[in-house]
Amino acid sequence: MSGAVEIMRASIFLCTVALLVAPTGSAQATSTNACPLSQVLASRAKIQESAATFTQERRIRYVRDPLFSAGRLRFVAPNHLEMIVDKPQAESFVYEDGVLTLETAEQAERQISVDSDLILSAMFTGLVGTLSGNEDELRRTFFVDFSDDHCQWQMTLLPKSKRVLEKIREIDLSGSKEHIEKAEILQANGDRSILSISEQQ
Amino acid sequence: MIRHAWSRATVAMLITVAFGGIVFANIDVQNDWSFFQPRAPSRISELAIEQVRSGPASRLVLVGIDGAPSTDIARLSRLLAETLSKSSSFSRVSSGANELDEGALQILFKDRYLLGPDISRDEFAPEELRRSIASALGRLGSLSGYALGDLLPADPTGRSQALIKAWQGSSQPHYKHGVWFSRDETMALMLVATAAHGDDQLGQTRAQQEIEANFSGIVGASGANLVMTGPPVISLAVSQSIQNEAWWIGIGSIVIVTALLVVTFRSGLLLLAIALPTAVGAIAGALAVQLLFGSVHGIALTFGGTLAGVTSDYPVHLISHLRRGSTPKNELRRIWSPLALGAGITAAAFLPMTISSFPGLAQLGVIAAVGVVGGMLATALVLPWILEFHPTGDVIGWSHSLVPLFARGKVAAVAAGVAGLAWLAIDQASLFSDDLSRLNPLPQRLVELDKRIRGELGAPDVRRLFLIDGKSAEEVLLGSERISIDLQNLAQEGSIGSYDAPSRYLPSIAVQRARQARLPSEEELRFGLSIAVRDLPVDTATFEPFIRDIAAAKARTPIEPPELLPVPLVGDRLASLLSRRADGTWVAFILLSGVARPDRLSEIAHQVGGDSTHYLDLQTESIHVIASYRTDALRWLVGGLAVVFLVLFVALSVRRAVQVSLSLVASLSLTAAILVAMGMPLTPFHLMSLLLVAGMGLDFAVFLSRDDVDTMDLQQTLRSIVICAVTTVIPFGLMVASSAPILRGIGLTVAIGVTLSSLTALAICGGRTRAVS
Repeated sequence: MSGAVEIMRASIFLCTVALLVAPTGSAQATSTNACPLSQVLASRAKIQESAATFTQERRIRYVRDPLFSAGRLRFVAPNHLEMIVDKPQAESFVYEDGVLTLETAEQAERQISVDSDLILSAMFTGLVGTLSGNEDELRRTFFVDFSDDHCQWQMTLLPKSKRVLEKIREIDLSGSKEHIEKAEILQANGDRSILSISEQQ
Repeated sequence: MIRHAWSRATVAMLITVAFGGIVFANIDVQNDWSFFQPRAPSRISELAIEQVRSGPASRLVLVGIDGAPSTDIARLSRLLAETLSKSSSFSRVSSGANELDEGALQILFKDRYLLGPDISRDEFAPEELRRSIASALGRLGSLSGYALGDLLPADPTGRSQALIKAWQGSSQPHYKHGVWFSRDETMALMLVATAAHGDDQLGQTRAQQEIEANFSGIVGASGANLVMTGPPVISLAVSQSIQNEAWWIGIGSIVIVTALLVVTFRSGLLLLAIALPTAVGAIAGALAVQLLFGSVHGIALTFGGTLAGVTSDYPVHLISHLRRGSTPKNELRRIWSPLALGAGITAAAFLPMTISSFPGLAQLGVIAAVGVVGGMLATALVLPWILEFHPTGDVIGWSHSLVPLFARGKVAAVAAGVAGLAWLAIDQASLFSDDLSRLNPLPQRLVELDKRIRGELGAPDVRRLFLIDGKSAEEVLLGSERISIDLQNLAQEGSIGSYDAPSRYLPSIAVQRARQARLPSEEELRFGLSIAVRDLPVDTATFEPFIRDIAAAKARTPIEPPELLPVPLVGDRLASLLSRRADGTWVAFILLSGVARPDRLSEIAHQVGGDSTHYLDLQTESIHVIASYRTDALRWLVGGLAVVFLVLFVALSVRRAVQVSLSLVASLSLTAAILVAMGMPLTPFHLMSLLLVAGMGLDFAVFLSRDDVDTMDLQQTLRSIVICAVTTVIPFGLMVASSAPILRGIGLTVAIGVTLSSLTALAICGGRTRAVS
């Protein structure tokens, strides 16, 4: 038993050293229990296809009760993400290669406004960047702040674009190991959305 | 001696070339429909021609991008749209993605209650407010509702979405990756309206090249491929291919005719001597038209060029009649009478046409009359001087003995002429064709592509539209609203796919005032909202921006075109459907897509009535325009022939006058009959060609009908006629090989006509010339 504890301690130590030496996460992490950004993303990059269900809780500043929706996520490496909402209204979003398409039953409502494109595009870019394990992609669009504790990690994405920043204050992602468990989007107007994701193993 | 001749010829030619250079550098060439347009057209044909030239549908380029993965072509489509929309060469560029930018959206949003489609009567009633707020809250929780968060407090009834929906159009193109795609998802589609008119060849060339250049700038290694179609692209392709062919045919003709003349005359000097009057005629004709009309139409100029076939005959006649031991001046004196008579009558035949109410016809008359007289005068004044020291040889051969053989066919020739007339009389129905579009060899590939993209995008029909004209913008917008009601019904019953009208974007002042009256007062609205939100998780206070905007819309002065037209994107769209004409009147276009039952459209025009709403079927209208042009041309042709007969009977003996007239009528009617029998009904272009034939046939007949000729004369005349006929039939015969029916028609008419003219002239007029020296 004590041997296992020793190994864990050692790995936490290694992990800390690695973070100190290379704070951006380019270190050669060796332990399975240490989860720097590069490790999380590297394990993510190995996954070719994944599926998950999600629930979304939206808190709008002038609506008294939170609003809920639920649906499914499907990711195909390197950059295809589908988000299919089942409740309360069926709609689907397909993000591929930097292009986001909304497909609803009534196509005329396909593009609501420039704003919604900005918010959703930023959200999808963050999600796809993480899911595909593409750190460069993430850092091109966001300032990335990453922390982890026993492989329970948290990542804050701050939009670099001024126009996006006018709409989104930050995107917070959290998870364990290579899995994303929660995505929280804080809009500039104070509205927030919390996506709870449970990946199908 | 010969050196004298050469230096004189060179001097004369240099002067001509220099003068010609100056003239052609300074004439203003027009290349549009105005050639067929009468000076004072009916209102409707004027509007139709305006539409063909510059209407919104005729300026629409349909663009497709294919040949690469769909994500690549979607990206290219967005990029291309973005670049092109910055260029002043295009008034509208749509790829399906964000056609309205943020600025345009803000303008529309600000005036959302006055602009755009109708507001339903109970949109602001408490129960309706409750329904729309509840549904908006549902969407707010979903993904597509992210932007709704900011919008809902000001627009709980979803008015801005209704407005944007109207701007997106009622047709529903297929989308992929956020841009328009063909339904099989292989091709991204775009609509590009050029600023240049559809028939502005230079402007269209530039605009289309700009699209191509921008595309090659962004295509990279994706391997994607750009295709373009639509009326401006098709018409440019057609006119370019016709011009290309005409150029090759021209080069070929020059080479062959030069070779023939060299072989016949074995003298470069004589070649120059023939070219000189021909050039003078063309220059004089073009100059006269420019001075009289201020510009020269391309068609008139082309026709002036073909007139070379007539004017080059004069020097050929003179040269052919030169004799050893006599001066050119003496020989000119001998043939002066038929030469001058031939040219004079030909010019006289074109004179009546110069006062036609169609400037195109009048130009044609001037260019022909002046050209013929110029060529003849240059022959008479300059050639004797040039050829004064040129040695001539004369040989009496056997060919003159052929003439009496021909003369035996006198009865046969007259009978053939009568048969031709009879055929024309019997087959009257298929005599004329005024549908010039049938003459256009449209590239099938582009037509198919146009049909495909137009169908996919629901882009407007090019042929059919409604047009409303009036004294004020308000008047035409009211008309647009009236007809929209009927068109809505037609769309519902499936007679048309959809329609686009300016009142959809900018309602009339009357409608705006009615809407303002229907908007609730502040108290009503507050009361309604308080009931509506009673069991919803929001408060009335949330909707203060909504209350404020409704109050502002109610108090606002109605919006008029000058306020909206300068707004980028919004104004461009409106301007393509609503515009102020140069004379201060206004005109609105109602564009139609997917017309399934054209008959219902003319019914509607009748029902709506009034003189301000016109249903235009551009094909039918253009046929009307051409038909009235053709009728006019025919009238002047007959008038011209009357003048010809009159002069003939005054200037010549009765026998000669009768023979020349018979020969002329026989060859013309036979030519026309052969064309019609070949299934080629006569268009204005055929009629113009027949005039050319008449001019040449007249010369032949006048020369051959002379009394005072000897064997040598006869032989010289025969030789000169054969040369004239062959050098005309060959270039025009080359045109028969063209792929363009228009060139083929002209070529066939002249080739058949000139052959027949020389035969009828020989047969009918050649009999009496038996005098032997």
